[in-house]
Amino acid sequence: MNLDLLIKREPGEKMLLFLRRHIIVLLAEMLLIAVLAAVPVAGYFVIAWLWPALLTGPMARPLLVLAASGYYLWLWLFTLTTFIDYYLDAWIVTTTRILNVEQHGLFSRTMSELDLSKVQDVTSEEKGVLAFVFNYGTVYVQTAGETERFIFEQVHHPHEIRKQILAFMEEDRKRHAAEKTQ
Amino acid sequence: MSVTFPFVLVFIPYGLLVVGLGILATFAIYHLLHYGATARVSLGATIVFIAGALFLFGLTAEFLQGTDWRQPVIIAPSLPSLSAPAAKT
Repeated sequence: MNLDLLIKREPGEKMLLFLRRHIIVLLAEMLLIAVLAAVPVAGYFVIAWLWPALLTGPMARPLLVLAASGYYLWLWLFTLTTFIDYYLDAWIVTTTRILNVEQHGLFSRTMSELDLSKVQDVTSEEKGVLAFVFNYGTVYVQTAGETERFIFEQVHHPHEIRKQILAFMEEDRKRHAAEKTQ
Repeated sequence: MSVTFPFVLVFIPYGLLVVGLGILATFAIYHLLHYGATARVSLGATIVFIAGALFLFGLTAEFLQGTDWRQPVIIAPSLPSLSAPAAKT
């Protein structure tokens, strides 16, 4: 990720973590798309069984072909947007802050950030059989604000990430303390 | 009263569908190329998408070969007759 596209970097600011949802989440969505892709095939067999004349009719056949073509083209676009939604959602931890970049569909994109120094609590959880098997879960980053918190959803190794963020916070505090004493 | 039009006009709704798809795909590809983490993945996904779409268009053209686009489509509403039934002789 080109960090400079997202934020104006402070001097010496480095990217420490770049997180996305676990790949299994994308694969589960792709499985749904595969099921949707099978629908017209099932429809074809139903038509061939109940109304075989439709498949050879001079008008019905081209109409069915165009309908199937439109359906598959839109499904293909849906596949692309599903990938984009996965690919462009990211959580970035730098030496000074945490960035939350979220893509919602095609026309909405949210970017938010919080200082590592404002983080008060980091919690991680793995919920469910799939999450346990594939080792993914949610990391909650609670700030000093009353309600503000970042949620890293379905990320790989959530407990490891929590430990890393806590370590980065500690380093950030030490650095701030050193700057104050200078 | 019936309405007759050439069969080729069925391409109008299909064309609108394709135009809509093209507009949304342009936005999607723009997002991907502009915000993507690595140019290689973004470019790869774009190429795969375009290749897939072209494959679907090609397959559609293949299946539509031999279609008589000039054949007339006649839409005749089958309204119930309001006239009195003919008297039996």
